[in-house]
Amino acid sequence: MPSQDQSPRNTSDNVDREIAHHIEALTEANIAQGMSPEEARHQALIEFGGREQVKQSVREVHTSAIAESIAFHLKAALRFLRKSPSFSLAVILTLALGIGANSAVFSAIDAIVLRPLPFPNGDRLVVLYQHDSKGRDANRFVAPVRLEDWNASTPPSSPSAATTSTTSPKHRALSPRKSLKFSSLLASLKRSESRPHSAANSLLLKSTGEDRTPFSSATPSGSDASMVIPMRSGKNST
Amino acid sequence: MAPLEKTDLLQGTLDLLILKVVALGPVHGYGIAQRIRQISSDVLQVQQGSLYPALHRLEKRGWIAADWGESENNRQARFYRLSAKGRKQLVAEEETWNRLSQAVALILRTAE
Repeated sequence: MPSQDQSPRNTSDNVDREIAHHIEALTEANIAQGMSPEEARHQALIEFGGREQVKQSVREVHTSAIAESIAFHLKAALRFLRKSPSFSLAVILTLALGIGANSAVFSAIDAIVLRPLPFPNGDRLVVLYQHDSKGRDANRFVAPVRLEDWNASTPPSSPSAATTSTTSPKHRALSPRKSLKFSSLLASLKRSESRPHSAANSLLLKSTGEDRTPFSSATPSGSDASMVIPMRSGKNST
Repeated sequence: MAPLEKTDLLQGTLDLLILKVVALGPVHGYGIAQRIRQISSDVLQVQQGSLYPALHRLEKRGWIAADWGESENNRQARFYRLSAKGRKQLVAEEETWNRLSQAVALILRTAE
């Protein structure tokens, strides 16, 4: 006889079958009253009314608990907001400013620190500036033309020069006679990235003012060419 | 079968009527509607649109339980029966209803 239903999952199915049974029963009652079967069914369907509405309202019974409590809490919240508008305003302003400040700070950090530079091999970009040890030239910027001159004027470096420059990356005074081609410097930097302490990628190359061999064609006498490789270290290892 | 004037049931009254009818023995939705109608001499007609939501609401509250079974004409139907919790609820609601209707009757008599 009675069989156990039911997981809530077939509630919809249950309702369908229930409704079907109800309509059949109505049809039979109509037939018993002398209607033709088609007429009886037709009348039963009319009498039952909107099946979908019935199903919908049964569904609502099963969902209403959550919906009702959400509505209740929302209403309570609105009432509270309206009851003390100044306090609400203060809270809203605090939240707005807090969220705004946080997102501003995060956007900055995201752009500066988290995101790789929008160039190929962005972690291998360097900043070059020059330094005059005698204080005659305050301009620390390296003009692009000068960089080209450096590259053109310096013969290909020996591997030893490159490795020497990377053994102590922080402040390595290059021997004046060492000439260093810019591209090979970069290559050596790339090698140095695997070294934990070169992580800062800061490399200062100096040539004393007396010796102008490497840079003489481009730099004014006594100026040092310094090279500082920024900050963005180890990106390509991730 | 002439539909009588439909009497709106007070919210909550339908629950009481369903509990009372179901207390007579396992019965399916159609049977509940029929019995309410017959016992009230066609005064009360339960709309399907309120009957089935009410049945499921009561079932959800644990006042009635439902099982599939075979109806009198050998069809599968969902039979509702009263649970122990529902029996207590029925007693409480009957009391409430009696007090309410007596109070209303009292007012109607006294205010005449």
